[in-house]
Amino acid sequence: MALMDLLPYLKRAGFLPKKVEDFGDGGAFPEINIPQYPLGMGREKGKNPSSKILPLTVDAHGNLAYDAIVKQNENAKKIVYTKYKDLIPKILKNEEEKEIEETMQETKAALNPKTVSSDSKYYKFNSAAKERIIMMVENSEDPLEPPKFKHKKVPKNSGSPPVPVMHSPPRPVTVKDQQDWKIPPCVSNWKNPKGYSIPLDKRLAINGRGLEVQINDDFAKFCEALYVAEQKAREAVALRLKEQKAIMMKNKEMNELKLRDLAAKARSERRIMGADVVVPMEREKLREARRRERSLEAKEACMGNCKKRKFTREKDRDISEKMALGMACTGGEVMKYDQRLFNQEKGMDSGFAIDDQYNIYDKGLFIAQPTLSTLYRPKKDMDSDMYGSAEEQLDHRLMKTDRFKPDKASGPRDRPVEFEKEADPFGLDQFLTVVKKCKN
Amino acid sequence: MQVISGHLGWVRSLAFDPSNNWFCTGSADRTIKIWDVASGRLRLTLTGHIEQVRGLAVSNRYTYMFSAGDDKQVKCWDLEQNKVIRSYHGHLSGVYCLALHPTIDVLLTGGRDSVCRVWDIRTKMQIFALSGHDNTVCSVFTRPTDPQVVTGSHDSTIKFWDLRYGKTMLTLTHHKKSVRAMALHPTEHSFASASADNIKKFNLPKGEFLHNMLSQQKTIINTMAVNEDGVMATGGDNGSLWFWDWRSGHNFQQAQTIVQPGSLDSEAGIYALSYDVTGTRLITCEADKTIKMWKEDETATEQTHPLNFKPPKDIRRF
Repeated sequence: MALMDLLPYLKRAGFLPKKVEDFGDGGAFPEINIPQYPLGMGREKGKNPSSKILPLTVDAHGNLAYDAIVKQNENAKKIVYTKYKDLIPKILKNEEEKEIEETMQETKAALNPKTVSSDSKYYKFNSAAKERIIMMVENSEDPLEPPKFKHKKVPKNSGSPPVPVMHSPPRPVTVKDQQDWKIPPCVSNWKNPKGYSIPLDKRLAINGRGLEVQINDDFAKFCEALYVAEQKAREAVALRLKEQKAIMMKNKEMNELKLRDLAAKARSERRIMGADVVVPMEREKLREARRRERSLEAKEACMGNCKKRKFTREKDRDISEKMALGMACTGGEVMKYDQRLFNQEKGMDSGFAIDDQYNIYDKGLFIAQPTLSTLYRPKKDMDSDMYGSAEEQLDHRLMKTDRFKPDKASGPRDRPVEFEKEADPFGLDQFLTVVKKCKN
Repeated sequence: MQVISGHLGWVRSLAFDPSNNWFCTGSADRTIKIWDVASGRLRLTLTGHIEQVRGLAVSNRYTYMFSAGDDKQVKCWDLEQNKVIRSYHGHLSGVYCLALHPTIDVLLTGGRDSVCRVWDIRTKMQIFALSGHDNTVCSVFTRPTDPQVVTGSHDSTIKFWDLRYGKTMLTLTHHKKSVRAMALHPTEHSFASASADNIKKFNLPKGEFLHNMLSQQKTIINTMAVNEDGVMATGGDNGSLWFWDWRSGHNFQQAQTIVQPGSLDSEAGIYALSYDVTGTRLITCEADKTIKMWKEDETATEQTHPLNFKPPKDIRRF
């Protein structure tokens, strides 16, 4: 088909290209507004039902596809096995395995570029003298050599552009969350540099260990058992004591009885012997007194400590400050009071005296001499012209008078007070000798 | 349930041997201990770290075990000699997670310096520093196909990385709180990530968001694991151990660990958990210094453990 046969441009009015020949070698005519199929392209094959001829189909290598005839119409959408290749038994090779293998190779190559490009290359080199073949090999590097170039810190690159955030915005913090997150301040049992006072329950709560102590019930049972056992033991001991006491009493009674029998026997013997013994009245009295004392003692032992007898009460009384008879009465009225009762608002409140204060003897011994301290002293120079000055009055009228002297005839002492031994004031010695005589 | 106590500190990391004969645990007492799976007996104690051991992995192609700790060290142990044979130096702060690439001899560690580092196992060289996170990288896992590296961080994002060029492929910003745990499903192309607000499931090659788990654990989730039956276990910081159905996201069981006698109640916390290789036993590493083994209750029936699952009327997207 030659181009000459076609109508030239702008002279195609009324021309309707329908056959393949109408297009020549070219494509569709853009100015003609009808559907055009140059080289049959785009024409639907089923549109021509009358034609039962299947167009030839070739594959990439130019081989005819003979199975096109079974793959038309309905089967076009299905898988139809037609080839010999489909009959060959195959070992199922996972597509994934292939992919894995491929990925591995690719990655290895990418990670290790030297393994790929390390093979040496040969060059033919023509010089004027002769032809040479040269092998180009990369210069080997010593891996242990220090770097030739100074390592410079490269500023960080800007990185990839940000990606959209695919999650919802975070929820606002609720009050409960905040309370849950509140951590109580740390309180140490050992350190408290600011010296805050920390209540005991807070300490316990912070420690956390003392709070949930579960005591085994067996402890309570054990305590109960111990208590009961102790009670029983006590009862047993008391009972035993009582029994022992009873036995001892019995023994005593038996002994006494025996002694009494012996005494009676002796008495009767003596009587038989004829010696009429008169018991002296004194001995009878003594015996009586002793018996009374014994009975009192027994009673006291019975009563225990709840009631004290008079003499024991007096024995316990504090009688350390005894009056020394015949001594100089230095204090007079004043010393009758307990000095510890005075000055109570001083003491701890006003502080103790200073340690190095030495004021034991800072006052005279006889300051409280009633004659001097309680006497009226005339005021100074009130009526000195009449009676003389105050000193004079004191000297002449008070000190040198006889009226205010102590009522003692002995006068001033020239040696310490002596006590004389009195010879048996109550007749005790005599009494004792009498008793001894009676016993003998 | 079996309780193994032997560590002197929090047990923080766990890894299983591919042969399922033993597992190793790393602890805050700076040791790594190797235990027998069947008997729970201690086989070996490895010392070498000077801080707590936060990440462990056992290679399935070599006799190597890898450990990472708060002391910024990443170590490679040869289990034939029980010695440290390599040490990967470069982290600027504590290392919090560790993963081994399944096909390439590459080790990945993420740490408090907010960088995930890619190490060549053999040469000890750092291949890449995958930087882009704004905060601590606390979880990482690897896959043989793209995306080969997925990291979760305290900046509440998850990033997919192209291991060929060391570039970010994708950033997922669905979480509100730090993503402390991620679990890759053993067969399905999907993974789940846990943060304190929600557990979310994502599809894998593209990272499309699938759905949230249907309930909230209301605690910091330290770790999670899935087995092939689709039972996902999450361990919380308060000792709660929840079991989820992978497909529906229904939480069908809630367990609480019992602290070993002598420890405080506040020491109930699960730091690491993992299924064994068969997926039948679950092992948890806890703050009460014990390791606990959990087994499926074989006598459980619908009657003993009724399943009250109410499918949600609308799936919430956020």
